[in-house]
Amino acid sequence: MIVPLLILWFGYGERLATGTSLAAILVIAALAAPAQGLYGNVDVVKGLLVGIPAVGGVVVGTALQQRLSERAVSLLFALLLIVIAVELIL
Amino acid sequence: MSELLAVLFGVAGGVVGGLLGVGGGILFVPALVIFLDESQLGAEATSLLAIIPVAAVGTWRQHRYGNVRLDEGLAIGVLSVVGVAAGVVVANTVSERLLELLFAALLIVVAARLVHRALQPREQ
Repeated sequence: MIVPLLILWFGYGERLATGTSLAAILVIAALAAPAQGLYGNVDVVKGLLVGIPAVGGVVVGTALQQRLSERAVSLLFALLLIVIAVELIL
Repeated sequence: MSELLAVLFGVAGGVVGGLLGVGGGILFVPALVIFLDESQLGAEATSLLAIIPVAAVGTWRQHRYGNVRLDEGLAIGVLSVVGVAAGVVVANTVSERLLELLFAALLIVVAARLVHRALQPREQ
């Protein structure tokens, strides 16, 4: 929800909103993951098994984004929100 | 085999994360549940760990592209953590199904506004 917040309320462009959102998510995850770890809910091996390959993905994803128009980024983001909404309703 | 699928979902989650500025949890959580036998709670907690390297490298790449306001991003992150703590208190007073439906409605409204805005003529 950080990306649409930055775009719709703070007037950020799509690229700036998604980049700044990643910085915010880094803070959230870096604080929340150890907190969940204290409750014994985090499986470090499984987390790294998914998270390390994802680093390659994020390099590709950010590079790909530079080739898209900001309008396309907004429309893709709207699609992501609709998918999540449908998942929640079902 | 299931480990390989989890890795592929990890890569795909990273691509979506970089492309749209999200953590990638939308794909990490199902990968952990379906392929790595995590409970829903365990998967959501574990996905937070997977998000850390994604967000760190994604921020670094976008910073190189000139697309990050670091001060504001860090401030939003800290405020979100405070917001989440407050949200937990509220969430415990309302039924989970009602929360799901309210959040779904909010997402649809936001998606409609993004589409409406994207389709307006603008200077690129």
